[in-house]
Amino acid sequence: MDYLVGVAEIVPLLLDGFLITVLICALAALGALAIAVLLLAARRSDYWWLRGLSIGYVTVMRGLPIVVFIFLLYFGLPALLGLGRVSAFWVGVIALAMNGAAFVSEVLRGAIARINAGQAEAAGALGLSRLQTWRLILIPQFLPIALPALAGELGFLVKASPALSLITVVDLTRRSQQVAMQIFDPLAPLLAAALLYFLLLWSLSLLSRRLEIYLEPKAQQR
Amino acid sequence: MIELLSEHGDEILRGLLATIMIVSCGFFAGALLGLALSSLLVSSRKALRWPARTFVELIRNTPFLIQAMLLFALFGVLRLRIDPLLLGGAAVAIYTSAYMAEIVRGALKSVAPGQRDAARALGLKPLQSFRLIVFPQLLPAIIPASANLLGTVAKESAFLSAVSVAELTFAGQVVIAQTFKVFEVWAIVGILYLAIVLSILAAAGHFERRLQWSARS
Repeated sequence: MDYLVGVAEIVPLLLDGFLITVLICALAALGALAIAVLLLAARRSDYWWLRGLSIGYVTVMRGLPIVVFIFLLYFGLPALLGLGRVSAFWVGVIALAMNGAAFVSEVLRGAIARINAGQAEAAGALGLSRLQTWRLILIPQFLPIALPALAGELGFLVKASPALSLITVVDLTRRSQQVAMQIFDPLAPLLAAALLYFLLLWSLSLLSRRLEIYLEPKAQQR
Repeated sequence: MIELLSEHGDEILRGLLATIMIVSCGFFAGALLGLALSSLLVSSRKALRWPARTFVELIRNTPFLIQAMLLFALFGVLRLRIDPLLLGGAAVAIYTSAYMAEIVRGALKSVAPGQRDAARALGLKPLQSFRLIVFPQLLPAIIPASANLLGTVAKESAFLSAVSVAELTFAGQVVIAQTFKVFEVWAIVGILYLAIVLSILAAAGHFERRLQWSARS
């Protein structure tokens, strides 16, 4: 029991690392969403090579461990291009965003596939503009399907984010390792870090479940 | 690239084999553990359900790297000397078991409870009714989901390099320290992971289509 109190006392020492982890995930999530929209647009393009590029990108990202991808971007690419030092933080965020985008684009694609294509045509026939069609008809149906799954993807992003600690970013994982060195206890800081990760991921999965329950009835009124 | 492979190919190959061993053995052990765990998750007794639920949520809501670091630190503190490959496999097994338990629990919901009662009435023992009646019906739901899980586990296993398990990613780091061919080595390692994970995912997709089809007919 005393040991658990010790673990709780370490939590404040890890807060800056925790905030960095939250920041990384928030930035990577925004980046992933932006890239995913591009991937989706490419997937629905009239040009076969754009469609192929989008499918190829998603396939490679689904098969590559985030650790190896981040090493490739942070160590491999600068060596290949003869660049000097690059920012570990930003390369890490970009790697996480690029990786997450593949999964987010699949979520969005699945959600769009569930909306009847005839509705957009019907809205057009009723005289709604393209923007109005999206705002009034498509997005209200699309969000309930996509949001819970997107919250789930955010969870995967958080679980992948310790990969940044391997390229010297002082996130929650690396901070816990630093504290372990300082207090000569390898276990307690890790337990404290695990607790913080758990709280973050647990609240995300609660949010996802809550969204699902809250939004589902509206989705069925179609 | 050719030179690199001819001189350090066997080191990378050893890493590849270690990754395949850790992932396949760890996944197999974890799948069995998960199956047992799922029966606790659906148990009517709170004393059984609660610890299992806590374990599953703890594992599913923490990053794999943290779990692996904790396991290795724990064995370090207890001064237990164990082969890192074995401990890495154990980390994979623990991770797999929690996700597998949820997959099986989800599949169990699709089997009508009346079937179990019917099996009981026919004089089958609980384990027999599970093995002969319930389990075969779970497979169409379990197999594609576990193949997807195997793909995820193969990717997560790269984190084990950070706790100095001599697997594929670790082998890449070793070869880079000797050759300084940073990009080439990570490209080769990346292609090997792609080959492993994409063939697993392709198998998952195949099972998904096949089992859906047979369930419909």
